[in-house]
Amino acid sequence: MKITFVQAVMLILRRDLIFDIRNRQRLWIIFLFAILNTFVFSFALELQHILRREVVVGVFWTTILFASLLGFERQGSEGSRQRMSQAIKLAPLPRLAIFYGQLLANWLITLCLLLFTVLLQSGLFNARLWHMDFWLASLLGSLGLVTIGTTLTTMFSHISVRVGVMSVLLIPLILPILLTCVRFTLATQSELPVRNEWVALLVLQDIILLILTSWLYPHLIDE
Amino acid sequence: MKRSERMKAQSPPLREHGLTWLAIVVLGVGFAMALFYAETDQQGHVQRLFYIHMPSFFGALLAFSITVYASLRYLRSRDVKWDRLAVVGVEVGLLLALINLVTGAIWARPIWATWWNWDPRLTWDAIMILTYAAYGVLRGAIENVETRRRFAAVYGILAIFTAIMTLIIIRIRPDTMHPAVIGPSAQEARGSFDASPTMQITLLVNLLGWALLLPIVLMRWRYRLQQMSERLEQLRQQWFEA
Repeated sequence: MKITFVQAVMLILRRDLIFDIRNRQRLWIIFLFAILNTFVFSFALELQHILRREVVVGVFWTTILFASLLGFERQGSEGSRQRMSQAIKLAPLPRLAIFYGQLLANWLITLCLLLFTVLLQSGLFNARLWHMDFWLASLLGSLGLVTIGTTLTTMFSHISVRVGVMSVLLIPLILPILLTCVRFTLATQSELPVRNEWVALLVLQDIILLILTSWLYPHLIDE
Repeated sequence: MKRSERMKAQSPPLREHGLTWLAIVVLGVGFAMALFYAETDQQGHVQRLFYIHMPSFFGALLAFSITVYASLRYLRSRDVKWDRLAVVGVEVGLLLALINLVTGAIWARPIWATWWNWDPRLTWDAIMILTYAAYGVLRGAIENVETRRRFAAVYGILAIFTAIMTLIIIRIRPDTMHPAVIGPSAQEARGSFDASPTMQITLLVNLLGWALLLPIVLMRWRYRLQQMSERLEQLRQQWFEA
């Protein structure tokens, strides 16, 4: 039976989501870390009423970055997931379908993390994070984050000395997107109209990264 | 390693020495012109750093572009020489990018009254350097040689994203303090100057030295060194096996 590209993508997406829901380890780590990180920042910066509004955006994006980083690290080091990926490579599926399936699964999980963190930090810091432009920044920013994360996770399973390597590889590549997201989100917090240049910059970065990673991914998995 | 390659590795050809001497002469002349020939503007002598600062960035960009080209060739052919060239490109590019960053900071101290600020161009430059430094970490973390080369090629291509963004960011972001050399600077830019004919000639000579000859010469020598160290490793393994 021949399946289409979209069907193949959906198949991989379904497989990854089912694996994460059944395994639960990665989800636990991500969401628990988001709570802990919020608490740590709250205590470390002694967030008071006025300071909160100014730093909440930074705290929010730092939480997303580090929680995702832990998730990618976990994803790349799970033995059962690696065995499953080895098996998937043998399946007659287009290489790009595997990549897009994994990317979509990671994006969905990151969006859930975003929603969870917004609820958490809106409540704890009494911040105004529910804004249409804010969600646009989150969607575009998280897409860039998972594009790089998914690519590097594929590499990560082959790395022998793993401690700290994922952070060193991912953070410099993700910093430009993080920087743009923070500035864009800050703009949404103020009363001034949001400048289109932030949206354009995020879209440009996402497009460059998607093109590059889509082209490079087959080289990563074909030995 | 083939016999012809071995011979090449043992004795550097004359043109390699010729190119090296040419680079030394051009860099020396460029340096002298920057100090004694080019005029300065209201910024004073610190403005002369510009003749190293800007060309070294383009030298880094050339080296990183060679990494991309070599990585692409490696992914297609799996020939080790392209991987070698990709590594060399990153190392030389990193050195030139650091020279660019340090000279920029020294210039900024009297002009912007600070060594560093979080200006978009400066921030992207720092991100670019960190990304290429991570390239070395990636290579060191993978034991399987073939996998290491393949993944490093992928990362080397991905990393050019930061170099491109460093180059174009002052055109996208109007709030930058960094002056543009080609075309009009942003409204908030501080430290711009109008280049007089002597400045333009000095800049051209330094561009030839720092942005073209120096990266090529450094890469050639580093490439030969890499070849020799690989040969040494091969001999060591043979000796242990015997």
